[in-house]
Amino acid sequence: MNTPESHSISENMIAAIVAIIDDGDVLLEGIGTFLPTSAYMLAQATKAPRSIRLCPVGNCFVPNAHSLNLAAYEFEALQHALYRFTYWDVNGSYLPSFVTGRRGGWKEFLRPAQVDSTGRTNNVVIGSYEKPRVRLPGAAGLPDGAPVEAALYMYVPRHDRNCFVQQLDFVSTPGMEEGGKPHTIVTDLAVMRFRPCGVVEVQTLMPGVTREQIQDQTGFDLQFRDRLLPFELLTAQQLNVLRTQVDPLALRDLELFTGEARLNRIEELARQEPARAQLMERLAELAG
Amino acid sequence: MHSEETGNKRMSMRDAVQQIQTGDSIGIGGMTLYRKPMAFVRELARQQTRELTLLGFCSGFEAELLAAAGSLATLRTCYFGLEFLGLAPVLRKAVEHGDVKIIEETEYTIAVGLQATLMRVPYLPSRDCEVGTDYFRIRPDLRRALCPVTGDELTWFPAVAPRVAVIHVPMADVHGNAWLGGQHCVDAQLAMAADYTIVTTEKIVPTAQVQKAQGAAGLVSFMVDAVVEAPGGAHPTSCYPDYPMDVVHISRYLRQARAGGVPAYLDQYVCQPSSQREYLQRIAQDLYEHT
Repeated sequence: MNTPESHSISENMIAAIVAIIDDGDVLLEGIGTFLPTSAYMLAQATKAPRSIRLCPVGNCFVPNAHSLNLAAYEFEALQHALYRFTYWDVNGSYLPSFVTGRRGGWKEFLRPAQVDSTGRTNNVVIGSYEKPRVRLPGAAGLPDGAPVEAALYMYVPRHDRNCFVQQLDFVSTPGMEEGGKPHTIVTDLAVMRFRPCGVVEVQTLMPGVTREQIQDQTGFDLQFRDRLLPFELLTAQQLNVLRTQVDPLALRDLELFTGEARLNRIEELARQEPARAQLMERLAELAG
Repeated sequence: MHSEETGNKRMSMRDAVQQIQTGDSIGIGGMTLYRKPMAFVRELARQQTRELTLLGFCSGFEAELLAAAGSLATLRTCYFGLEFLGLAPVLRKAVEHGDVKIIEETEYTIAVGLQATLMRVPYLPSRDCEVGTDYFRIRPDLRRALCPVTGDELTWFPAVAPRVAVIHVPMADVHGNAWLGGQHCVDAQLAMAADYTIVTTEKIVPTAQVQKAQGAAGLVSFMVDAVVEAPGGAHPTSCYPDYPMDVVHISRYLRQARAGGVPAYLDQYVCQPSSQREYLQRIAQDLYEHT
């Protein structure tokens, strides 16, 4: 039965991302970001059959959905790729025109470690840059693309005051005041829109979330849309495609976990994958 | 073995690694956990090469291992970590303690910077990259300046190049014509920009086999100075299409690192195996024991 109780948090975030995707969009994946990637593929398999994914793993454009996995996602993407480009082919030659709107319909969902009310994000350090309290992995290509994108989308699997802050420790993508165009952010608690003058407006609350709870878990004052939009669950058909075709291993949930629990889950899944048998066979052969 | 007359660039792993000096800068091919020259990196650690600067498009297990071995002084990168497996624990701590210096890159500071080197210009511009961010503060060589011709305000990326490039591939011939498989990253730019380029390859094949594998970018012999055969040389990262990533190996490393077991890991997988063949036998034994 398709009741709210039968949908997980990650599936609700995927529903919110799928709702934002239009047929024909070019969808940019991150690396190891299973949650938005499964939303992209679900959109391709259902409402957006003309959409194309750009996979940074392989620098390739993929026109259809396939399956997510851990060890061999690269293999899947490359085998479904229209062409296999170099980084420079895609990002040096085509992207600058893409993101500045000559050929629009570009969507990317970035995951910020910190975000403020004007839509600035930080994926570089917590604490000072020179003496960081926590050194994060870095922002990769986000500072190159974000300042020129027509609209910037984000997702946050754990909505809390560590992420939604008054002041960033480092700015790796610009907010509205610097000319950036942050648009919508999907979290485990809500869907929110960035508005001018540092206003973040809650559009939709996720099932079971209250206004008090979301305000309490945000480090700046939120505004609420005059009439909140109702949250729309994935349809039974979408849920079925997600669970059986696009993401049968439920990798979409990995971004919700941390620490030991996460590693345990990864290892358990990795041992079950068909790619594991392929790896073992090859390595045994090489070892002689 | 290298012969000018025949163009045979085949070299042993030991000799190839001895091309690297203390304080050298090395550009690493591949990306995070894909097609990293891990056999080469293990030999670097074994020979205790020190004070290295690594240039990595996205740095992963190779940078973690060199940090753990005490070989890494500076990392030029736009991302370092182990993707969905998490942060690179030793490297992250080393950066937080100031033991490894990061030169903060973005994808463009590396890719456009390499392109500037190839075009023999000091800077290449782009439209509005990095505008409104803190990158100009921490990278004073990255510039926001007027175009001298049109007066447009542009972002200018400085040329960059490592002295040596090291790139692992699924197949290459003895001349250095190499097939990159599917994941090309910035490898051809890197190979061309470096003064000296080393290719490690799953297998050395006749030129005709490289020609047959066409349909994707690759390296041409004039971009390459040394070719080293290293079967399984990307493990535990992937080498498309030969083998996928060894997720369990990296996950077990992370557990070991949490329990303070990095020295034991280095001993087991870097110091004890005296060759890539011994390393692979050790890995085959792991697969048998841990499945």
